[in-house]
Amino acid sequence: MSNVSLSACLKQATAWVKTDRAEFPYTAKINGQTWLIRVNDFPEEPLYTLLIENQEIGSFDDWSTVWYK
Amino acid sequence: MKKIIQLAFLSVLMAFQGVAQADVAQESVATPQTTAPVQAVKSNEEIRQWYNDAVAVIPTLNEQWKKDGLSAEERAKKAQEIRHHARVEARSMMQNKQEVAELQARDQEKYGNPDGPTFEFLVEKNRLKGLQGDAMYEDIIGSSNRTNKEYNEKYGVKKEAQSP
Repeated sequence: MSNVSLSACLKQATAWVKTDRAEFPYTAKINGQTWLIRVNDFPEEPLYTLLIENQEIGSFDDWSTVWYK
Repeated sequence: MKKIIQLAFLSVLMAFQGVAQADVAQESVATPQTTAPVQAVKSNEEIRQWYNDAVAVIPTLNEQWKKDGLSAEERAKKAQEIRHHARVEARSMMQNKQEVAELQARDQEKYGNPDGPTFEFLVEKNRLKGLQGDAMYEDIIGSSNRTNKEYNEKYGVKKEAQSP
């Protein structure tokens, strides 16, 4: 898991599914793992954080063009 | 006599042309005011940079407020007002309105307010953290200029605003 980089994840075409949780609005299943998007306190904090299996991978402001929601 | 009439006609004509030219000039001055200013499209990262710059003035202002004799509570309210205004302004700059809706839903759930925490919310939060008296307010003043340092360093987002 520690080898996973945010930049690699952002380049992977991903179909996100809407959840009913405001703080964690999107989830995806990638290679059997659960990816989760957290919305942060933007602009005080970066807009989004990617979590894989509940582990923070990294934070970013601009949604990837190959992530579909 | 004929010459006098000609001169009188000429002066009336020149006066009319002067009025007409003034009208044109007024129109050309008025036109830019009625046109909405063109705003450059900003990425969320750029908007975050703008926000950092907007709130970077708070420590300098806080020092001035202290000199002016404002209490910790008054200074905290002013700092929170700047922070809140910059937050709302930053979100209004975002191009993707769905992202704005996501932020508002998140804030509504966390703070009970779609535009972020109120001053009263922050005071109560600090009270629950065990802070008392001026410490509650000094924490709010500090947090008004506390951005995600690790993220800013990683992605090169800087606080550009300098003290005068």
